[in-house]
Amino acid sequence: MIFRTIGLGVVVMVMGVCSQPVSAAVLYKTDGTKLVGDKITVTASGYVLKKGPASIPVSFRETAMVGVKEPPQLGVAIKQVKAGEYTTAIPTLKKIMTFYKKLNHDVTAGAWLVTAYVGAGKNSDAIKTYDTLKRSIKDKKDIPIQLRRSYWEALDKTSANSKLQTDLSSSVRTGNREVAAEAQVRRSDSLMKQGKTEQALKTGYLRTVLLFPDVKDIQPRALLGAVTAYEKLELTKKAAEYKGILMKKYPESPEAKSLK
Amino acid sequence: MNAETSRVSAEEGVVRKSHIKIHVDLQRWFSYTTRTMFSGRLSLGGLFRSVLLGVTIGVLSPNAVDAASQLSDAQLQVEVDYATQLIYLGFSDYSERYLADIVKKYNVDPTTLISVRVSVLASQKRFKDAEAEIDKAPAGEKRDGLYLTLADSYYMWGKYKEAKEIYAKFFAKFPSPPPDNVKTFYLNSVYKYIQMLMLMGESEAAIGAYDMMIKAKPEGPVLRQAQSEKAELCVKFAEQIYDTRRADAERFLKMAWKLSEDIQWKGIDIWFGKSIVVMAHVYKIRGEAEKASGIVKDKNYFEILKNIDDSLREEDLLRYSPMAQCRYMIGDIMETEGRKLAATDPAAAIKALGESLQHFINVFFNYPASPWAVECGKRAEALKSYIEGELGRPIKIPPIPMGPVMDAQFKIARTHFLNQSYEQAIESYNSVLAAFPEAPQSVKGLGQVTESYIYLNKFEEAEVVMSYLSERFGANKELQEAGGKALVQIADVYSSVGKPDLAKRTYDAFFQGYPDHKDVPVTLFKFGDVAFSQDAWQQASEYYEKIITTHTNSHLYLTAYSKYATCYSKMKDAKKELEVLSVYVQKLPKSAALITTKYRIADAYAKMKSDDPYQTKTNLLVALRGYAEIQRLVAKEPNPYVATADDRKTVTEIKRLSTFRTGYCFAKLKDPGNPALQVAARKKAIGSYETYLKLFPNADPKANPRDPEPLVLSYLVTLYTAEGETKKAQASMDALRGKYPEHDAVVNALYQTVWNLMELGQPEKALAAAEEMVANAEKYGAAKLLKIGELMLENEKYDLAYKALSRAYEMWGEKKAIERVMYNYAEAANKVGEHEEVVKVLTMLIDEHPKSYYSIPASFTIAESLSFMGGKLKESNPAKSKEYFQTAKKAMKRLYRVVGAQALSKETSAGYRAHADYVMGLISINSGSADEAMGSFQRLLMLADAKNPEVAPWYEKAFIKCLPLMKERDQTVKVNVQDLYDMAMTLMEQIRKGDAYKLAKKTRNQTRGQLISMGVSAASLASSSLDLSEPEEGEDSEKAPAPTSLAPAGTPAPAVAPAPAVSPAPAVPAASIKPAVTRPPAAPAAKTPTPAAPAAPKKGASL
Repeated sequence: MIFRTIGLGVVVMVMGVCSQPVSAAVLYKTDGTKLVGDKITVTASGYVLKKGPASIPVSFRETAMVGVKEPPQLGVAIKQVKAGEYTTAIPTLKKIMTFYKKLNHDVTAGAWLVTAYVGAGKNSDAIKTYDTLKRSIKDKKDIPIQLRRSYWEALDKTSANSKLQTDLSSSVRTGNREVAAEAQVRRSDSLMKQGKTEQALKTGYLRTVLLFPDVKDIQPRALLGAVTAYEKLELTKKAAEYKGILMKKYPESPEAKSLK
Repeated sequence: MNAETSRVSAEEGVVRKSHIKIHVDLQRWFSYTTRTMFSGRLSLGGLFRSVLLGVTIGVLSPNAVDAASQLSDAQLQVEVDYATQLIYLGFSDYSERYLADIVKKYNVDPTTLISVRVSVLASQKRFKDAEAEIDKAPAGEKRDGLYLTLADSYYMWGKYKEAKEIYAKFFAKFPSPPPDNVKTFYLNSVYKYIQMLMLMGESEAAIGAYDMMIKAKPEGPVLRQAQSEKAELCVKFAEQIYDTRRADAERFLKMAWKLSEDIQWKGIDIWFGKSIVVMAHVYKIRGEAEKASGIVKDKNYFEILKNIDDSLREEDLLRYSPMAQCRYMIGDIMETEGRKLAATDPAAAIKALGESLQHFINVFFNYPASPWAVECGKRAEALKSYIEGELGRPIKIPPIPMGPVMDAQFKIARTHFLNQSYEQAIESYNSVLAAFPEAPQSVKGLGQVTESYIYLNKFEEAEVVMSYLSERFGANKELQEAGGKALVQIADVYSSVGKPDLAKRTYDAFFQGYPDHKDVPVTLFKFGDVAFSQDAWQQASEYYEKIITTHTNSHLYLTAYSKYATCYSKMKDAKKELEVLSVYVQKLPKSAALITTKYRIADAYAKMKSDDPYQTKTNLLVALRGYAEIQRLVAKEPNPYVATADDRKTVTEIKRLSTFRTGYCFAKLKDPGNPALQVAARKKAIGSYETYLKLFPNADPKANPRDPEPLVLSYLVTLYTAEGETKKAQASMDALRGKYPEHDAVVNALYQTVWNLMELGQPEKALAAAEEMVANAEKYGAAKLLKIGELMLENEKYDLAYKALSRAYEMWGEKKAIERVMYNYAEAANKVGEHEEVVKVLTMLIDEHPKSYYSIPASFTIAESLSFMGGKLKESNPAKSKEYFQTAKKAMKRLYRVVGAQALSKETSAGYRAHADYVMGLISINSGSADEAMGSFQRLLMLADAKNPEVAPWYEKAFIKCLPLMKERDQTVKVNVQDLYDMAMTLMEQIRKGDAYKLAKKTRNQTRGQLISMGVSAASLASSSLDLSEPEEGEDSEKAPAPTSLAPAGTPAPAVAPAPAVSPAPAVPAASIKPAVTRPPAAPAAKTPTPAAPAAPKKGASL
């Protein structure tokens, strides 16, 4: 495929796999320049922004951010996943993931695709999709929690325990706080199953309660974990203390209700 | 030191003056120590603390000073204070003892010590005893006070119900305001009770308790504080229950309003300001936002708030200003209103939200240390995005820098920590960490939170934070540095409070979580050196290994390498030492260290032990080449390996040592197939030693006790003796005696001579000397006799070995390593036919030392002796003979238990068990019981795993022994032939080479033919052997190894085990029962690969 740059009159040949052009794009270069195009295409080495008859190639290295309009089908597919219509959503999400490769929406679509696969019981496909997606996300901290959650569930269901534990530990170390908190609680759930109650308590449940109060969503689960662990260790007073916190702070949570 | 104790010091007379002085000084010391210890500035280990305390107790014990029959009140108070200090330091048991001593020695009325005794008992959780003690006190304020002290202890130990009961009982005594004489005590108690209730989350009860306080009519400011705090609590609690218990909530809101009005009637101060906030809050809870903001914005009120604010600013107490809370509240109210309006009236929404934003920003910038600053900063940021994003109205405010607020908040928490207010430090840190969990200051803060938990003895929480620090920040480039430092600091604190296990766990967490931290190599090195100094070589080597494998850029890299090698030298693992040194030497530049390392390599070769005499010879030759190279390198002038005076000293020393070691290696050099080599080498050794004496004539044993000169002289004595040059030998001995009269070589000249002569291949001369030693056993001692006995045993001089070892055994006593003496003595006794003695001594060994290494070979020796004794009496005394055989079998059965008691690998244990089965079979053959023998062998063949190399030899032997026994059975019976066939097939499946395999194959072929002729289908026989791909005959690995080039001409190749006889075994030869290993245990086999074998010298290599 041949593209011509504007201004310089130099013919630039960009070889390799190209995506289909996507309409209306904004590209921010690393030097702060903002480029607006009618269409954008992804090539093997970067982006090509089309504005009228001109084509402007920008390498991946020079690109800071790309913005394209969200495909309307994405919202529909997400709604379908949320409604449990996994098999209906899967083909749409797959298409978006391919069509918008390296154009942001591939990550969103991929994340929901993984969730859809898990929901449809296609755990191996979920794992494969996650692994593909992970490679295209530069900073692993940007992997959304919902995507990780689905991935962990897929790994859990396929009994890929070693891979699951490795990813959980890595998420505890390098994930954002929301990810780290959930990963350490999940890890503690596994430790509890292995009978490593004290370790589960210290490196997961208690850690989350004491040091991750900013991650509110996970608190009921961590508190319930702490209660269970203390009960297992026959430290009833401590168990009662954490049960009290759970009941008082999150009375409407399923975890609190499970203790009533 | 407080004023009272100062007075005591001044007023004290002769009586116990010194005691008091020491005491007061120590009080000061204790005060200092506790302060510094808990602030982390002083590392006071548990051991040190205990020792010191022991000394303190000794010095201060009332028994240790001149007794006086009575103590003044002031003196007694000093004692009580001291006992109380002990409780605070966690030594309540010492405190109890100390108090008992005071009562006994000074006739003190025990009731005067009740208070401190109650503290002691409560700190030991002996609550019932404490209550009994309290009841001894006279009823009244004192007893009440003691009960309240007990209530505090109940609370501290989590016994809330009991704590509350005591307080309730106490307050019940005052239905009306307390009289003036107990008022202060009463108020303090109520206030403490309120704090307790609030910590327990019982707000309603706490509000009631505030009433008790207010009714007691305290002094003005105290009353206003109580009213203000009660009002705040009422509002807070009402907010919590407003949706669920509206009527109650309203009651509390009215209460708060009334209290605020009361406060406002009685003057303008900070409580006045707070009352405005409370009133606004009341409106806010009721949903009357306009009134809430109106009250704060009221011109009069606002003026008052501003005045309070100004005066607090002057005193640098702005963080307590009610203005910040007021502004926060208005901001909150306006934000709620603004967001409500956003959908219906955007313009009004923007106005409300803009005002809210102003208040948040005001608090954020002007009150950075206030509790609302962080929240305001965050909400301002969120609000700005909301107004710009959702309402499309750009806001021109500078970016909100969280830095100053964060700094202020962390500063508050840090101040609490430095003031040792650990509970408050944790609370403050938790609050600020929730807002800034992963900022650079957070990591240091987390470290201090951990330390605070440690000082509060909350080790579980401390470990939670520590493990988080270890895992979370190690991979974070920005926070890694601070995280690692925090962990190291925590480990130090653990050490200082006497928790070495937790300190180690923290260091391990540091190493694991922060492998790239810049302090890791230094810390590892420090740990390595500590272990090194304690002779814990294995442990030290592990630390050094981590440095050389993962911290190659560290300035400690080369030093660690050197020490790593030294560890293996100390562990006598010359192979591993060599492996390490061979790599290390490649990394060194031209330097004295390079010369030293080359010397260490040569020395390691010289020390390397091998059972193969040819390998030993090779090692010695390589060592000699190394020493020669060193001599050549250090001879150069100017010397490129010498840069400093110290280098010069080092190089000279290496030159000296390598000259000495050259003589030593030559003296050791021998070749079993070439006696001429040893003779030539001996002459070379003499030459080297003489050269040494010439080159280094001025040895000064005082200046250098490790100077090898006495050894040189001693070796020369032996070498000249071996050469038959008695005059020269005598001259050397004279020189030795003259210069080193106390040297071992002189004192133990005879012992050394025996040893040396044996090494020099002069056994006859050695035997004569050894005989002389045994005759004078007392002079040489049991240890030397043991060594001589072992030497004789090794060289098959059994009579003399028996004599020496029996004397060693007699003289040994209760010393360590008695098992070694017992075992070697029994070995010698076995060789000279003293079998009953063997059984007696070794049975004792196994009974007394079942876990000893020797108990396994001892079991085999017992079986061997008993089998021999049984065989001897087989004809003359069959009953006794049978008894011996039975006992021998029992010894083998017991071996299973002995093996189980030892920490052996699964493979080794299986090997010993297989060996025992095999020996059982042999004993049965000897006792004439072929069936039993077959049973033992077949058990081994059926159950053991011949893939285990420890089992394989016994498996093969059992097959070879069992085969003729089975062949003796009637071969015309199909079952017997089938058994033989099956056994052969079983072996062929397990073992694919060797004599047993060949025998099995032959048997298989024979019996196969027989079975076919007996009507068994060939197909059924073939099917079981189809999958056996049989190796070619030529692949048999049991071929004799080709003689190595090390063997000199004419040297026979190492003996190859002859093919075992197939015929029925005769009586068991003694050696057949012997265990595989009979010598003392060697160091565990090194797991690391051995260094490449040195180039083998050619046959008859010239010396």
